[in-house]
Amino acid sequence: MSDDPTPTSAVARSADDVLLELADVHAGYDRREVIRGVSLHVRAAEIVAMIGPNGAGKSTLLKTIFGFLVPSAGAIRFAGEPIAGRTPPEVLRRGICYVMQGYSILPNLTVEENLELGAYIRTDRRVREDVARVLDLFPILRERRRQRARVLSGGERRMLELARVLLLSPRLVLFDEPTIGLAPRVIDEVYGIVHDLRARGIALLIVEQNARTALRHADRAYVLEQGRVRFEGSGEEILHHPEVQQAYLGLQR
Amino acid sequence: MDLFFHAAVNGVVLGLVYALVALGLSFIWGVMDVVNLAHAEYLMLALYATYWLWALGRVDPALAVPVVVPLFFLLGWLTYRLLVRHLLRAPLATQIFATFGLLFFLRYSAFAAFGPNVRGTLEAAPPASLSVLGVPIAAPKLAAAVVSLAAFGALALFLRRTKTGRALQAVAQNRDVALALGIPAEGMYALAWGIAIASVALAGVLLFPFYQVSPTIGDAFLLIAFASVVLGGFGRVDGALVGGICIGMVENVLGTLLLPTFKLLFVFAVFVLILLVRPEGLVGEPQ
Amino acid sequence: MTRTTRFLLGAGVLSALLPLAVRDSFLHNALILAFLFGTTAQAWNLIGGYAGQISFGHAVFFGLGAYAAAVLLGRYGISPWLSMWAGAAVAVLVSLAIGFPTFRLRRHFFALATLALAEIVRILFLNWPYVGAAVGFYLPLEYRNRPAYLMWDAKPPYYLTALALFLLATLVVWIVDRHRAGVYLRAINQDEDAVEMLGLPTRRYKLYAMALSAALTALAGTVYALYVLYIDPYNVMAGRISLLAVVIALIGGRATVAGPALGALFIVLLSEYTRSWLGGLGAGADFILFGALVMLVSIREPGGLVGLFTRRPAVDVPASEGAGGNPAGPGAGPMRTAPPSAGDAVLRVEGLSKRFGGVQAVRNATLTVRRGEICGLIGPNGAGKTTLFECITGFVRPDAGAVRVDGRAVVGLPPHRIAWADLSRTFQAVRLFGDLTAWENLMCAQEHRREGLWEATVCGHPAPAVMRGRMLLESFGLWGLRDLPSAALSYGQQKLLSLAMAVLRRPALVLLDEPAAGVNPVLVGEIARHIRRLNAEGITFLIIEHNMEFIMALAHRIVFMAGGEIVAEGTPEAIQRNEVVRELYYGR
Repeated sequence: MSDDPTPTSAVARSADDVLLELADVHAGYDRREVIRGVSLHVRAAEIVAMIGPNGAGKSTLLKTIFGFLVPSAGAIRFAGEPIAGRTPPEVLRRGICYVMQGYSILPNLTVEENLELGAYIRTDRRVREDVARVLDLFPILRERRRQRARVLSGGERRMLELARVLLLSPRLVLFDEPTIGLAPRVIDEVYGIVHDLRARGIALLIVEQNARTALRHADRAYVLEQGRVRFEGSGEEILHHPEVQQAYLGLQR
Repeated sequence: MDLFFHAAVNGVVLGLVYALVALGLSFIWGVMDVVNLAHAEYLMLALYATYWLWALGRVDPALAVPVVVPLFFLLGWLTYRLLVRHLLRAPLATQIFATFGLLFFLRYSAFAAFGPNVRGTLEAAPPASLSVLGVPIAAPKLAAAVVSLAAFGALALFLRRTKTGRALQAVAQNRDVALALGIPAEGMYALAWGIAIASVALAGVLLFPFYQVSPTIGDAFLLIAFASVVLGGFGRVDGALVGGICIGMVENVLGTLLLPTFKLLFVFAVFVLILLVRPEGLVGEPQ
Repeated sequence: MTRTTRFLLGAGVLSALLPLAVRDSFLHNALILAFLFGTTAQAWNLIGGYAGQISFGHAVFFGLGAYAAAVLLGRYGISPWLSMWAGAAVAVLVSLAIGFPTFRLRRHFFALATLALAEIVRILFLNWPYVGAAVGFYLPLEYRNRPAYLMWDAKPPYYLTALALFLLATLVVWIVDRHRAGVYLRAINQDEDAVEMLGLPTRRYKLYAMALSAALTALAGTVYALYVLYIDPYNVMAGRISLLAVVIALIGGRATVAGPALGALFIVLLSEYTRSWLGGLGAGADFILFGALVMLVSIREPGGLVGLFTRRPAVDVPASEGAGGNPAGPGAGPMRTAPPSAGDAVLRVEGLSKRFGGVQAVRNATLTVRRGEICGLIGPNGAGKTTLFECITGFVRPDAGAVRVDGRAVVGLPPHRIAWADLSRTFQAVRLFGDLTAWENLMCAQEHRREGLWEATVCGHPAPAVMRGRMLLESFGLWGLRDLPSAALSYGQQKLLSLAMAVLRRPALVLLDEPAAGVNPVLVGEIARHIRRLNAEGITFLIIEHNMEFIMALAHRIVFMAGGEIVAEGTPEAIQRNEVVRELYYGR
């Protein structure tokens, strides 16, 4: 898999290919506001990282974009269309995939069944062929395609989730904590696939706690803190920003 | 020993039908964590439906299946749309109360409509019997057991082999993940209710040739169904099958050998015993 | 005395005089039934309403009371004045037998078991010749009109007996409602695990409520048998009796004193009059209606009739959150207090491991918290910090390892016993009892170690708890909000309240799970000040936290966890400089 760490900010893009746009979004649970006015955008075929300390609201933001939470204020537009308040299946049909935190696989179904369900919204007859083709890309999964997904290791679970995404060819993938709990070698593999997805024209919004890894691979990044965007910039800029380190580890200024 | 063996074979045969009664109860719990206390009332209604088809139209129970089962599928679907849908995010207590209210609503509706009388087939000639492992079993009982087993097989095939069946499993395993894959959870819940109520109605039609119906038979069957489900493990289709067969055996063997009138007492004893020593059931996994 | 209780007393006196004024025999009959089923509903209310353990088998207790009186009188001539207690005693034993195995399981098991119990006991009585089996049992008529046997020809004496019993049941519920036990039972209803971890032996309280409930129901059954003079399993043990208890309490209003009274009048009168209007045709029509009402009420109006009258006006919560706090954040407060000189170990965790399915959540964790210190527990998401808390507090049983609190081994003890070993905790997401007021929430956290059931039933909150509670609420700025339901508080106020609950009884060790998460920066500073002050009082803290600024300024010592293991520990400065920590937290 690709091990190319160079950010591809060299790829020229115009301002009007913005795919996802959030404007002053507020959201939370019950009486607790977690997202306190976030504005951000993701362009087509761009890798955007969202980093920040635990509890900053990163995962909540992804849930809000995908429709698990309804924002209390603000606008979310995807390809120019407002999607705030849509249900998750509706958002999915518009071309956004969501890979949840903590392995969103179905443990009691086989690997193959997981993949076929990944194409649930497809009505064409080529799903089986595509599943076979995707399995060719992931030899580990092909070996275990008749085993229940619960036996997969953490890395294999991530592969399964990404393979599932490939069956839908979405325009944007929301990826929550892709490397949590994974060994360094597997992390490289996961990011290899992330770059492959981008090469197919898919944009990714990646939430990461492992800031350094994410920043190395991202075109752009946002730093979220206390439900607000604190910094925005290229991966390099953020990586060397002194205040980012302070936000993470509470180092005195 | 011979008596014991006869009772055991009869118990397994009856247990297969009990398993079908318990199936829907366990299935609904497995898919959406709701306990339907009114489950056995649908069995009672299905028995009435079969009875009236037989009494008024001389419709053979075998022919009643294609009428009664789809009708009850619809009834289950309606129950979900009208009542259960409002309970999804409610506390467990609300779910328990609401299905308890449903139990009495259905039971006393049957009282008002059909009266308190016990009704059923009162055929003069004993039905033909067939021999299983040397034990004579009445033909309708045997047929009921075979159809029950077939129904379990059909459900298993549906769940394992079809796209919709797998989607249903997905919703049961993790609702959010299913939603993220674009599976409409609400539609799957309604489908699960349709299947659950249709299967208990099928059990009702199968029981009709050798069971009499009155508005209160739900009590005994609810106990049997719950004991089966608790014994097998809440929420598991295979658990309902294992549990139902065990309960049929317990009831028949202990009932025949000891005290026939108290056979339900043994079922209850098993139920309490399981709660004490292994609340996750025989097939279930701890916690 | 509240308005409700004055109303009840007045209504009681007036209704005692009613037979003198109105001589309508049909009405007398209806009211006698209303009082008896009202008593049953009031009794059901204790376990089903207050404690939230839903019983569908109260017909069993009712029937046991009825049979005890009938059989003991019929066979041995024993006065109901004595036999009613025998019936109550048997009912209590049966209720404990069903409660004991089911109260440790999820709630639907209890509901199921009571339904099953009702069916079984009915079958037993239907086939038991000694009690008349299916034929039933006639009460001997020769004892009539002798007060020693509680049987009469006319209705008014029955009316007074039934009324007295109903007032007794209402009084019992009123006493429970007004004292600690009522608060505890309502807390159990809302969040059993949370109240258990406050040190309350929840199963004991549930069994207590169940026994009380069964006894009162049996008394109602006794009077019913003496009134109708003929009993069989169909009239005193039918599912209808259980249904009536549930319907009356649910429609009147669960967990209120007045609800079952209102509900009994409404439901029984409705039932009796519809029956007489519809005649034989309407057999069971009232129960169709009740079934429908139960479905409707449980979904639309869980408060019942009482809820309709007492619906709370929208409350304006004063925005006191963080007011008066130190606006400059934790850094500007008094600096970290001097680390305590090496005290003895309050908490000692040795080699603790816990696995969930394929994930090793905690791996061989060893940790010591010394008396008097504030110890921070940090680490990335999924590091196993909360699981470690769950293992320490007994909510989850570790696969291996030992936990000692104040030198006592606590692994395997129920959570309330571990709380007694002298620790308390808060939860990551606040877990308060939303329907209880802030004050009632706080009082649930008082010392339960030597508290008897009887004491909890008849005594108010002890003075030391009240004084310290008031002091805490005042210093947290919550005193003015003490009578609001805690669900009406802001998130920050809820966090403060749960901190107050954790320290109310001055436990040796307090575990805080993310006290600063989700609250505004001003309040974060205030929480830090409170923790420092409480620490100066002698309370030791172990704090999981992700807000680094907060925890680094507060803690004397930091323990760092990752991947289920304890990776590093040391002073905040040392941890901030630690390369391993930086890499694990921040990336390679």
